[in-house]
Amino acid sequence: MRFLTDNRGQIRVIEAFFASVLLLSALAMIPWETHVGSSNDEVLQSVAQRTLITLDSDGTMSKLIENGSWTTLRQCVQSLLSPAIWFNLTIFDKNMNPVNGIQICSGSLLNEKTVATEYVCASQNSNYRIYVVRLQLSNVN
Amino acid sequence: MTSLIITMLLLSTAYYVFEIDKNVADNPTAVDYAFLATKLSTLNTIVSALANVSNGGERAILMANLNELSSAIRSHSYDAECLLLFTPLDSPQYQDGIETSWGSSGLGISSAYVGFSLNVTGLSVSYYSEFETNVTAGLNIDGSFTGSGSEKSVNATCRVYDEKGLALASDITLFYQNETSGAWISLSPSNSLNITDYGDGTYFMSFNVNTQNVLNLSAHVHDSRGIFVMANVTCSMA
Repeated sequence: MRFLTDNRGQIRVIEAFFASVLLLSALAMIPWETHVGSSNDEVLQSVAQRTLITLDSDGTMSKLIENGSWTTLRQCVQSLLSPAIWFNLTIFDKNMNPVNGIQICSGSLLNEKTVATEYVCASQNSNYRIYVVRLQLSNVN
Repeated sequence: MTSLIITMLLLSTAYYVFEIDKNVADNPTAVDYAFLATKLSTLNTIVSALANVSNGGERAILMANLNELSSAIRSHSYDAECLLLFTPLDSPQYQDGIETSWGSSGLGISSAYVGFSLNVTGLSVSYYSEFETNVTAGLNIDGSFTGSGSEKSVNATCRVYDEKGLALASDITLFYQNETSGAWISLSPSNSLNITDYGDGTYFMSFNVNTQNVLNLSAHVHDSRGIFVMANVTCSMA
């Protein structure tokens, strides 16, 4: 009779259950990975990727390459980047032979530390071509 | 016993979270870039193949170009293994992923449809996605003529479409047929051809032709991407 009226065990279970809920809630609020913020290289990498995708979004990039419009291509890249970013664009064919006859860049490199991104650019022309476009970026300051 | 249950609960929760976390991309920016870049390349490749096929090329060019693209993407993915697989649509309309339906009811379609799967596996990026790419050039033409003698004044409207809606044409060539099963005759300056471009993919054309009662019209169009599409229509008396 005494055993049946003793509720201490049940209370312990309920208590433990609430404790575990509390613990799991606390764990859920803690991020698993701590990000300390993007490094400068990551920012430049992201800028380079966005620039290449924007340039190719309507097939413009392959048209400029096929027409050999290197000056226009340089102006397009320049208009998409901050003046504080140095760039160098190199275009290769699928066998990695350079295609651009002249250098497509924004001047001489001031900072030795550069970030490079490559992009596979397919042409919309009925005479199909694949180009590999390498964009190198560096902060001027 | 209670402690054991709580421990098991904690461990199973932790394991569940760990498993879920594994399936989430580690580097979303890199994944977005890989996905967007690949999707753009596939779109450009299909545009190229459709432009080729619609201008008289072989349908097999689509597979050949996609194989070339897949190989290029794989060989230029340095920080991850990037596998692009593709399946051109085969259906009553599409053969080898391409449809060219250039009808006599005023509607013409040149289209390509390919399903893709992209599997990116690397140290910082792991990603799997399936997507479809559709490239279409469509043309709708209708026309009517007036005049009681043999010389008729013809008014026709062409609407050019891509997969998103009305789209611009890079060139339009018109032909007419003034007798059933007769030769198609190209419109020349002597026909007083006048084309009004509404700037949204709609083109209004007026011209004069010699015919009795039969007038079939054929429009041959290249869209701004070089994809060819044509459609024929029988003009009615206004």
